[in-house]
Amino acid sequence: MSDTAPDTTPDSAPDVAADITPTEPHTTPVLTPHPAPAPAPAPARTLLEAVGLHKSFGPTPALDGAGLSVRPGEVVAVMGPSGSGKSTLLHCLAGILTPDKGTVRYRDVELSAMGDGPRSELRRTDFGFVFQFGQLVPELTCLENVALPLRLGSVKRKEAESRAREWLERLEVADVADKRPGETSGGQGQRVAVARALVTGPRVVFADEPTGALDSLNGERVMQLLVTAARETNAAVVLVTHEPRVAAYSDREVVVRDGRSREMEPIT
Amino acid sequence: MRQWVSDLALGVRLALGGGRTSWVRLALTGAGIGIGVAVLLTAASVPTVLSERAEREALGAQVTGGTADAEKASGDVLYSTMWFTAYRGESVTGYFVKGSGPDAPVPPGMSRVPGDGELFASPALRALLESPEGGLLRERFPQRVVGTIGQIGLNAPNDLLFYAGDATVKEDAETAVVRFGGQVHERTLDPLLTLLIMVGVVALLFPVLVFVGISTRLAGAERDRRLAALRLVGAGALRVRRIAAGESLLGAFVGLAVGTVLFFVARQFVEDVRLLGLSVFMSDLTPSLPFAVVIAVLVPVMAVVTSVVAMRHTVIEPLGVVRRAKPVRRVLWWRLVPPVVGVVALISQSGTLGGPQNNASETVVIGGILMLLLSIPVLLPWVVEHAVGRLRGGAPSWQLAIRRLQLESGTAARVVGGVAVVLAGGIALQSIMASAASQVEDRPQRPADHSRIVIDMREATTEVAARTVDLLERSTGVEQVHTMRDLVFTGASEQFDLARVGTCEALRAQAVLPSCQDGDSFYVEHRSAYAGGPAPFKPGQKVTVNPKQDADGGQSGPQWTIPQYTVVTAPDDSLGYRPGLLLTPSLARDLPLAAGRATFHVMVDPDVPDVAEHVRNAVASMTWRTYTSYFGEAEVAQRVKEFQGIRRGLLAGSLITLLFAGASLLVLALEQVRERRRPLAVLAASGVPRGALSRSLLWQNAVPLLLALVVAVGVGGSLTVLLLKVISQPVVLDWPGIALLSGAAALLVVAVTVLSLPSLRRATGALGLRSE
Repeated sequence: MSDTAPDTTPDSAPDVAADITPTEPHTTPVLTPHPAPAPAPAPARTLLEAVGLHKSFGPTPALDGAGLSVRPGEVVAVMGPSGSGKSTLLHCLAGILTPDKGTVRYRDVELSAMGDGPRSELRRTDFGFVFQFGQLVPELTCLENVALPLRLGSVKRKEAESRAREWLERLEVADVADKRPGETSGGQGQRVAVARALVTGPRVVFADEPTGALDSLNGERVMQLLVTAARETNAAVVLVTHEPRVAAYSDREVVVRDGRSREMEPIT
Repeated sequence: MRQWVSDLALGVRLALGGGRTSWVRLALTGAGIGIGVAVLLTAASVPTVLSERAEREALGAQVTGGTADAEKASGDVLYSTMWFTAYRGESVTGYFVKGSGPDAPVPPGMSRVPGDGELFASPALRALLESPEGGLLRERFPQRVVGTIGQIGLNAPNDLLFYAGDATVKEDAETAVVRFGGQVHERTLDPLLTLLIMVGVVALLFPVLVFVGISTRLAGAERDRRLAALRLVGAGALRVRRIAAGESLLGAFVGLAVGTVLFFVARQFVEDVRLLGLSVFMSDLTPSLPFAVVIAVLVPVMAVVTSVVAMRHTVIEPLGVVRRAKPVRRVLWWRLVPPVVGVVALISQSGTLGGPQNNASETVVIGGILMLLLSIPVLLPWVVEHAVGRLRGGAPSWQLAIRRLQLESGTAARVVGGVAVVLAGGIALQSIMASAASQVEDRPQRPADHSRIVIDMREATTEVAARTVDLLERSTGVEQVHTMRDLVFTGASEQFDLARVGTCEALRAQAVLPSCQDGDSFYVEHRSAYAGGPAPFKPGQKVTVNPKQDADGGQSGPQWTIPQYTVVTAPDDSLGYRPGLLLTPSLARDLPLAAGRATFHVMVDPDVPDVAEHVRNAVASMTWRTYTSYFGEAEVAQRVKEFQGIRRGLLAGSLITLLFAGASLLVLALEQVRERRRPLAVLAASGVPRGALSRSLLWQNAVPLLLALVVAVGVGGSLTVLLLKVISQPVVLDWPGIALLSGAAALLVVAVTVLSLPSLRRATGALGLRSE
């Protein structure tokens, strides 16, 4: 490879992997019924930063210079109307989509320069995902779903399932452990998804409309559990939503409109 | 390595998880692949069937005292004379035998040599004789049945074979069997027949492989979503492929198991099945080990390769979960590679199998056929995508179908792709067979005259002949019997000719005579088929009458002078008119007729049921001396027999492949409904009538089918043209055959759509909607 070639070769993977070594999973915390108080002021160092992102799907621009920075442990709500580009921004931040222009840096490593292997590993170890629906594998039981990222990371089955069970208990869905996702209610399914997102002890949880398919009561409960668990494990949360009620769980809000982002006044 | 195993295991877990849905999917995949495996195992058994038959044939070969192979016959011998008869179109073959002593060789499959009046029959013949349907045949076998011929003495379970003890069997070196058992003959086939087999095997088996490949891609959309979910939680692209391979492997192994069980269960009943006159012993239907190993390896490998290749276009990206990207437009250029390679390969072999020579490379010919057939499933998705992309408007059912196809036409194209391959193979096969038939059966077959039965009799003494006439005249349906005696004259330099002696009335049954009275003689001219043969004896020429009544009987008979004769032309030499001299009785007074052959022309009323059986029964007591046939019934040459055997085999194979295609198509159609049950349920819930949904389903199969027919006719036609050039035959396409095959394929799709309607009804029912 030439010196000028982007650092996407497999040879570069060990360095990147070393840089994104996951934190050890935390011991089981005790959940409080309400969101924990906001942590101490975030360290100055940015965990995840996107600058000047452009992304188009065919002729339709989705992002037009959007940017966002996330510090460790903070909850950032990305708001905006439908079609404004907030989900696309989240997907770019998570390395699922590659922006046409602009950079996304995670712990000083450029995501778009990473190959598929390191990016997959990053999703397995440092990132967690909670989507509106569909992210659970319907063929696996809820317990197996939660244990899946650990199993993919070569953790032995027993250990993986034991840790998964702890998270199901923390999220109050231990009773559905042996059920398949299709056999659970929407709220239970989302809590299982939250457990799966957090089981590896991620540094960032990406939540795209996590309560979009739930009633308000269930939505509230899922948000409480997600934010509490994230704070207890010091995981940052990037929360895409168009509901102010959900955004209220965040430390700060970023509004995306027509593919451009704008920081809102800090929440007091 | 551990990771590999773990990923494959996860794939298996995913294939098994999901409760009923997963099991149904696995069952459909297993059924689809299983049917294919069963057909492949059947095909893999063909070499065993042929070799076992050849070995038994060799075991039963008679080594007679008159042959070079015979050892010095010091012990007992078995005098044996072969006899053919027929019963309602079925051929019955057997031997009248007589042991010279207790150590006479015993035919294979029998415990002893039958004594005079005893009969050993094959199981099929025994069953026929004991059944009410065999009532008329029983009259022909008055012997006491004392045993059944075992499998080792038979070719196939439906063989109608017998060995009957008969004290009157001639005792000479030619009939004296000193032992049974000869060499297994290596079969060398005519190049044309070789090509026919090549086309047949490829055209019949390739669709099976296509269907196996398609079956591994069942429920592709669900799998993509599942794998995308795995990508989301951090599985790399390579791992996802390994997991997908694990899923496919399970389906393939289940298919292998299902196919093997299906094959061995069906095998139990194979002896009861008769397809176009062919039947096989259960023990013969054993897959040859190398082929079985190839199947066991090929099916899983194909399953994995197909599923991994299929993922090429499927964006198994994490976003597959939440956002389904518009499918990538299919490109044409690489899809043109198989047809181009196929055409070039076959063009390079043009003329190499023309005439009697065989300069063809079998690998190139088979490769060319394979490539052209492969081009159908490769080209079809592109053709369907581009064709349906241009369709617009119409009734709601049409619109639903077209929009669905525009969104995703791959599954539909795959569903009909297999049928299209069967069709293209069928078109090529039919056309080559038609061409081969015209070449192999160089004389057109004419129907025999069913109002005249000819009985040839050996050793027809005057008394025997008179008794035969008496028996025949008393038989049901017989109107008239003409007796003629046969003679062979030998001239100088091994020239010989035939003569037939009979009354004018009898001779008129043999040729159209201008006028006739006792003392006249005629000469029936040799026709074109005999052109180049010996010139006829001239009147006044001295000849020797051969007392053995055959061409190589030597010069030991009495001398005779050819009388003046009138040359007549046989109206049609292919209809039983034998060339040679025709003599009225007074001219043959001095000839040794009493020991010779006789021919009886028996005029019958063809409307009398089973009249031929009554005639055969009438002369049954003459046993081995008689051979009965319809007038004009042509003796079939070995080459033609081989061709007819291959044609029967290929037709039987075509039937099996067509049934298989139908079964696979049904599995695929059911899976298509199952995969789309959610949108179907939603449509039903929003008020779309079931009739519209059913019609939409039909259109979704019919539109790709129509396009598949076009591609199949194009490829099948091209294949025919190229193969006919390989055998240097004029290009003639069998259009009625093409229309028939296309119609059959269309019917198949309609039938499959109808059969999948109950599944659609379930999916769109209230319960179906609720469960979604």
